[in-house]
Amino acid sequence: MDPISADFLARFGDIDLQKIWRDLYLHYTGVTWAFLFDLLTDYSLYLISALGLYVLFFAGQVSLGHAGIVGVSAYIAGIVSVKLGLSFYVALLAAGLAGMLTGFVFWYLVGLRLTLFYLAIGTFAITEALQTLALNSDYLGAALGFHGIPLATKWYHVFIILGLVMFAVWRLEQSRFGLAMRAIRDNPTVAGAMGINVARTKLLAWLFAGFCTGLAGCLHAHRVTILTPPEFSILMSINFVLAPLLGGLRTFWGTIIGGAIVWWLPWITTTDDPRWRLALYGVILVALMVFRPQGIFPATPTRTTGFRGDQAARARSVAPRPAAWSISRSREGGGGRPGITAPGTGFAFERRTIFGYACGDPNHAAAGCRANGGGGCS
Amino acid sequence: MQFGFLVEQVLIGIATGAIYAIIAVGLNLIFGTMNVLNMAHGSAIMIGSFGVLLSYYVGVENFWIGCAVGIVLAFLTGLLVERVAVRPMKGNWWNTKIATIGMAFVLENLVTVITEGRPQLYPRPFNPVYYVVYGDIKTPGGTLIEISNIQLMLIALSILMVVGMVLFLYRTATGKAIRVVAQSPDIARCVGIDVKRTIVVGFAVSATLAGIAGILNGVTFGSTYSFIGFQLILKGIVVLIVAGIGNMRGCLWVGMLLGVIESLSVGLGESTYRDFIAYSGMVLVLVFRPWGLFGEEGRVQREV
Repeated sequence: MDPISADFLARFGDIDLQKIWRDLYLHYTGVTWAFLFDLLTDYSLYLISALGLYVLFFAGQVSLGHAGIVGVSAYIAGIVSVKLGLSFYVALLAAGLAGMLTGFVFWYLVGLRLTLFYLAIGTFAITEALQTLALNSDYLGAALGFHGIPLATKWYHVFIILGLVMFAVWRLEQSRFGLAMRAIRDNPTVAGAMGINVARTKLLAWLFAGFCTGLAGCLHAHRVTILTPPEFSILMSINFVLAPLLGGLRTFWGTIIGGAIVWWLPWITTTDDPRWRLALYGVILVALMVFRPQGIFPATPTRTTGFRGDQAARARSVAPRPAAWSISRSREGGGGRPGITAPGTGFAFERRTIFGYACGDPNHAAAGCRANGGGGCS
Repeated sequence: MQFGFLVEQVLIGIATGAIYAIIAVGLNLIFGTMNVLNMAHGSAIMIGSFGVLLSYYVGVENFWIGCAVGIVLAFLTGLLVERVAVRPMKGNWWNTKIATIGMAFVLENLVTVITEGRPQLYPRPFNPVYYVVYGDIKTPGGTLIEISNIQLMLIALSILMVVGMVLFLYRTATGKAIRVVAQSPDIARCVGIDVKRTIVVGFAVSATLAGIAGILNGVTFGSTYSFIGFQLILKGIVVLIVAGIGNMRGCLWVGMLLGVIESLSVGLGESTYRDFIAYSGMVLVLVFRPWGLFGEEGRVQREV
């Protein structure tokens, strides 16, 4: 960087522009491939538990206590490899099982009884209670943290496990269980009436999510080598929730993209003062929620935002609509939309496409395919 | 353990619990109106408490003028949050939650940048005077129960505010409109209530309460810092859930109860278990009575 131009810029005010330029320059150019690779490994590690959370969302469950599962399994992994002196792979398995157990506890205490908002708050409360317990346990190092975990996580562990988890989630989505989970998410009552065992399917989702998150917890413990209870706070849970939420609540790839936003954006926007970075992060969160409420890659095209609006839109689109309505409306000269006001000039065709019964079947044109439940003809 | 010591702890607990109660009432109002949890409530608390400091910094060294500045700033924060992070979401509770968290990030980190993250000393409205309730001050080692006028003011103010909220919600036209909107926005629209305006009023009232809570908290603890709101709002959520959403009187009782439990656990030497009691109690309530100790039962099933 040319020092003369920086000096020239610095004359415009008492802000140390030279320093800012230098910092930014170093920030973006002084980065090494090793550092980027390290960030990528962290991102993959984060994705493992985010995908676990995605499975929960997929089954209509929400969790604001995912940090609790990570924390429990990370501590268990630490105990296995430090206090018991067993190998990393044993710790990995133990952490996975511990995550499953925590998932079971979450399912039994709140997942079975509560939905949506209350479920989120319940998982949050359990996590906070667990955090306080860890803070008081001298065995776990209390507030000073759990030291001495060996640095055993290698990059290929993270990538292999991420690959396996991605494959498992992808297969789970397409299996019968995935179908059952989707049914429960859309309407638990109807799913139960169809013969799906709602409680058991929810349990499966919690166990699966717990196992994935447990693996991530073990990898995390053996990567950072020291665990402190405040680390597993609600902020960590919110970070996990953001991944499926920003990317698109119901899509697999949306979760991965959303996770990328959560993980890489703070780094890209880093300034020399981390507090500005967090403020900027907040601005971006609000902007994303305002302008892309369904996430960046929504499963369905964005229609109306909001639960109530969504429901109303669905009710409108599903409601039976007589085909004659549009014709009589247009003969009166009402409407106002192009294609309605000019009867006889191909308007019927346009109306049909608008209402979605342009399937070519004349019977359907009379009845209206939409009346059969929306989504066109079979 | 002395009897006087216990009573003193209970009195202190009631005074801090009063702050929790006010915060929970504010959250309750938003939850009642919009069916969303306002995570940016904490930033209104924080901005209210920093408003007093702002007026001192500008040169107006009067506590009560500072209070007015803080409350007005908190009020404006509530309006800002409603406009930016709540209205565009149209009632989607996940999105609202994330957007309000984003707002809280922005506001709290901006204040952190301004104050450089240090806890700030807080002015007192008047010098604390300790009144002897029981015992004799002249006999050393005897049972002595004291209460300060600041604690008395806190308790009185919180009871006043909760009573005021109940009267506001059940007696005034605006309060009734808020309750109707909480039941069903569509029906409220049908009977001619301006839903948008009602929601704005709900946010304004709630943020004003938050500002008052922030000021009271600053007075009680003698200092404030930029993440105070986030700490307090978690306690507010506990009180809200345990008391039951939609019940103002319940918030008062549970808030005071939580304050007393916390202060007793500190006083008895188990201060690290303070939060554990609160959160495990909340889990128990959610497991056995999800609608809360004072709430209406139908609410949980109806919830979005």
